Amino acid sequence: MSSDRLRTLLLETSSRLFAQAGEPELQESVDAGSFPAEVWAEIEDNGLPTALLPAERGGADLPWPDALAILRMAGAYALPLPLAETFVAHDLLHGAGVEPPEGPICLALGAPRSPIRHRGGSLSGSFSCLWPGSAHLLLVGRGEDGDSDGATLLEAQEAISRTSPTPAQNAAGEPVGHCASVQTEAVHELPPGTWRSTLELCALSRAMMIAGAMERILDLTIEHVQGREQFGRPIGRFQAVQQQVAEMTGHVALVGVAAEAAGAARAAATDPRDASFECASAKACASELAGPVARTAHQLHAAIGFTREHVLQRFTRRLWTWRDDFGDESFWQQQVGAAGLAAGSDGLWPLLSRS
Amino acid sequence: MRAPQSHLRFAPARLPEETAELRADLRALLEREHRAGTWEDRGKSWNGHCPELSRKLGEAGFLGLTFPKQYGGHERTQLDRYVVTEELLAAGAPTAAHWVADRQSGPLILRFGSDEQKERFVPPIARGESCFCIGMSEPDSGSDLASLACRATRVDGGWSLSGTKIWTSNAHFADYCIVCCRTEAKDDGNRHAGLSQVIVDLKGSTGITVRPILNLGGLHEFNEVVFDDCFVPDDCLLGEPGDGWHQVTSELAYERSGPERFLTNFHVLRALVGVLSQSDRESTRRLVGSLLSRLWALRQASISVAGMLQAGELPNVEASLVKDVGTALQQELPEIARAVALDEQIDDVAFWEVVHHATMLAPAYTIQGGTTEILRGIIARGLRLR
Repeated sequence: MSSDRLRTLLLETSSRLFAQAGEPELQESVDAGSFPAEVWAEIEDNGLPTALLPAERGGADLPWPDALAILRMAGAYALPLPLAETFVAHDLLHGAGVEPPEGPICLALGAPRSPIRHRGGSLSGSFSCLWPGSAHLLLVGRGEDGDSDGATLLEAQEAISRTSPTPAQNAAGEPVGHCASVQTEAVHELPPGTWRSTLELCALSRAMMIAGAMERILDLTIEHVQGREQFGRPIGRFQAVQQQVAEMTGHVALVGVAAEAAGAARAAATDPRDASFECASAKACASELAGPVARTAHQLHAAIGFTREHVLQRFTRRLWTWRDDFGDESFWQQQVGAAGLAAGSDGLWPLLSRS
Repeated sequence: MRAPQSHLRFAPARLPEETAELRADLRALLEREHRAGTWEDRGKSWNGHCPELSRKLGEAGFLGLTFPKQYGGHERTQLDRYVVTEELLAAGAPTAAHWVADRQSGPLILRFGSDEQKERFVPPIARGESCFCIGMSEPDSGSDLASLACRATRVDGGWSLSGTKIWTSNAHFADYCIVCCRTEAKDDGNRHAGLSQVIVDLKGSTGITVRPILNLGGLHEFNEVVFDDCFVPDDCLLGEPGDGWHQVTSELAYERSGPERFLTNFHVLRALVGVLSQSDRESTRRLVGSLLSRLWALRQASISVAGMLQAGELPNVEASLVKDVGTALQQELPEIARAVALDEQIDDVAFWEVVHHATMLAPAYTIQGGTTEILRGIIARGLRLR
């Protein structure tokens, strides 16, 4: 099968599967804290979570750009499943020569500014992770001073007993566990830079999901202003409304282009560090514009969009969550800014125009 | 829930490998000419007039890049041209002597002109020797271009042109002006009918008065151009009489999506980074990073539009989006540079001069070449809201 055909097929399948996860009852149960295991089972039956693995490991040899396209689709359906995390975990584990377990895997990297540390064969630090108890947990630590990085994989229940996370909920309604201090053996030694490259891949994945969610939000907004009538005509006929939709469209377009371009840069890079600037820029843009896009969408939907019943909140709540995941805009902007300052006056343009 | 509708098509485009050589060659030429003193000020960019540099760029094959070889062009792609324009802007090279001609007058003549017009006007553009300006706005026709009143009436052997154009950048040194005028009486039922474009020889015609209008920064860039019974020979009517509106709107994707919509004041960011060199202030890194990340993303969007133009599409909505977001960012840039420099207590006089100058020019970005309000109207129409 040609790669284009495979991609189209995968996107069609994803769209169909993710649509089921968008049913209101299921979203309500997620809001109540329960993991949508049946939907996960179904996407697993369709080979989606393992798609990045090579064929002999039961995967589809899916290249990352295609996986990112699936994640964009996941964003467009507000998919309440750790698919991106599982993709990244499979990629990392496979690279380390480890067979990934069945089922969803979530990641614990620590906060971008205070990573989980890897020292003397053990991992230590604090972290937050999604779906504690419902997904396996892959802990990844950064080595000190050029030391190797390290990781360990804990089965879901084992992770709970080893890390005793305090339960909480993110703005999207999904369960989060905060672990103030973990101390565990690092089973897998990883090349230096793996932690960083994993963080960047996660950030890029979230940028893609934000892009997808924004496209849905734009779609919903256009549909709303075309259908909602006041003063005897659709509100989309008013210039004040048109101006806001147009401005929002510019932001949505920018985030989509940025995520797509960073994905292409990462795929083309022989060393992930060659795409650091692009991944950082994409997540910085996506996180920075998430707020304005959500604000305008709500303004244009007015009161009905402010209800739990309306579908808009499923997407805007995810924008507010995803913009913080794996590095917020402040973190990534500072990374980009530091790169720019380091490049200096004459190096600034070569940095910006390198890909 | 149905599959999400795609309202935009920014096809991903990456610059082909072969553009790297073109970029390196141009960088070397610009560096050489800057050092030789052909030009100095990096802040004037596409408003800076330097015929010598434009000629040298033409000589070295950097102009008329996409034009047919038959007319002095190089038959290269829109993406090659994209690389050349962004390098010129990033270097802050003065390009007003060729910018408009190379960007839109040349392609317009190639698209709608007669063979004789192509032979006459296009090769000098590719050599960087022919300067064009755009005669669109009038005192009473700004955003509402279709209301324009400048009029060409039939006379023996051609047309007599009378009326006033305004905000005409570079008319005081341009060789030609492509004037959009009315050749038929106004039809209230069809506002876009009866318009035509004529190529006016600014230096060889009588009945033309060019009056300078200084901008708020005190610079002489735009003008008022008054035509009073100015004779335009038949062979200078461009395209079909009455087809002016269609011709004018087809220029817009070229005019609106280019890197001049987000790189015009890149020198301000260069200057800022230059005076900071390093900073341990979080807010500085954050603000510089916010600008840089969005500039990077805009550049990707602009490359995507160049790719679509290369594929023969006319992505007017996407081009309008690039201009809307890009010019807003360009306008924000001097403000952010100022905020950062205030926090950092920068007292470099030359730096502040750059910021003050850029602040004065910033209001124009969201007005010239289509106001933000008009662009957003075009975007809204593209989204089927109107």
